[in-house]
Amino acid sequence: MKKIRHLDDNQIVEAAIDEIGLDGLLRRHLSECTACRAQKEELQAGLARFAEFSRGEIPLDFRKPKLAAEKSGGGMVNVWRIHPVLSLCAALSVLVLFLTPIVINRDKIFTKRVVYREMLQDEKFMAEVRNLEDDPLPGFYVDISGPGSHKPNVESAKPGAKNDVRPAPKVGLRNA
Amino acid sequence: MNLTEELELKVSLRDGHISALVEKARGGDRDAFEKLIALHQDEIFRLVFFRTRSKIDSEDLTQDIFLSVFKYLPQLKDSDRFRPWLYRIALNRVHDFHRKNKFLAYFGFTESREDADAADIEPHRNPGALDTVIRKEFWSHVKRLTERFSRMEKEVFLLRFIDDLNLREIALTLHRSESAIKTHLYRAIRKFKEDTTLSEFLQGEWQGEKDKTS
Repeated sequence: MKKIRHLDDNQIVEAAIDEIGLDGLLRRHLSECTACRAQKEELQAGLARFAEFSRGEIPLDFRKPKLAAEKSGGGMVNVWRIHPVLSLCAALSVLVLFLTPIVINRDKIFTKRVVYREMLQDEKFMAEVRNLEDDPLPGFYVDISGPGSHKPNVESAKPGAKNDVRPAPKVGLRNA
Repeated sequence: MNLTEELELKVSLRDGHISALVEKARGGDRDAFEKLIALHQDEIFRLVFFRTRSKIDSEDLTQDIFLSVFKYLPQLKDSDRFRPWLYRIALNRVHDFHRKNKFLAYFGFTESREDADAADIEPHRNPGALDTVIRKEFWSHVKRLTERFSRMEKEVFLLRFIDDLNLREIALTLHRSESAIKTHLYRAIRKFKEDTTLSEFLQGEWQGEKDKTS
């Protein structure tokens, strides 16, 4: 009868994974040899200890998963499907009701803006009028505004005089 | 549903009964779906918690997962494959969560939880100082170990030993062949075996617990 050697490390690992998958001779040896069996069991015990310790780390008081409650309001959905015209009318009414105040407010805002702009223009115009009242026309224009209203100012009537707004006549080089 | 009712339900609805419940739930039976939730809520919460290490996030994600299950259950073709399908949804949601968190952490809006060490884990069961130290040490060992794993090795290892799925279920969950799952698991266990500090820590803790009980 062929005598088989002890299982090596790799074969022990293979046996720990799947003993049935081992070669027939190796399997028979493993069942008879206490040393090989002990090695395999030691490895399996180490793995079992690892699994046991790991599982001891898992919390037990966790929040259990729940299925969401069945949707209520399925009846409403059916109403929409059965009466599409009615639902469209209802939707449009809601839309109109919702939009009306927005449109009205929009007009109000627009009117306010126009009035405000006009008031500003009026104020500007009135300010100009007041300005003209406060600052009368320059003397020259007053002088020429009407004959005989008062004596002409000879000094100011001279071209180029202090109060004269008329441009001074150009003096050419030829005249000089 | 109280704890005794849940346990009774779990005992009475093992194996083939789950398929019947799934069939009923697919037909719109809310009671059947609630029973399915009661049967699987603990294991899904465990899956999520071990991957997020935050109780609040795990609660929210578990809720989301079951809502997705309720939404997509009519699309499940084979009711016998409900458990792998459920785990697949759960893993996808956890991956989405990490992806979103990473994105937010990149812009500084939140802290990345995927690489959180033991200090970030909320105290829940053992508030004692010694227990807190032990827990911190355990999580730092786990972190160091899982950092050595590839993404697939980590997933397969956790699904096998924490979530207690068999090889076939893992293969169905991850859409891989059973032999590919075995290969990943083989590599992961070898790395676990090489990590002597974790083995020593677990051995010491186990011995301590044994002494305490005796």
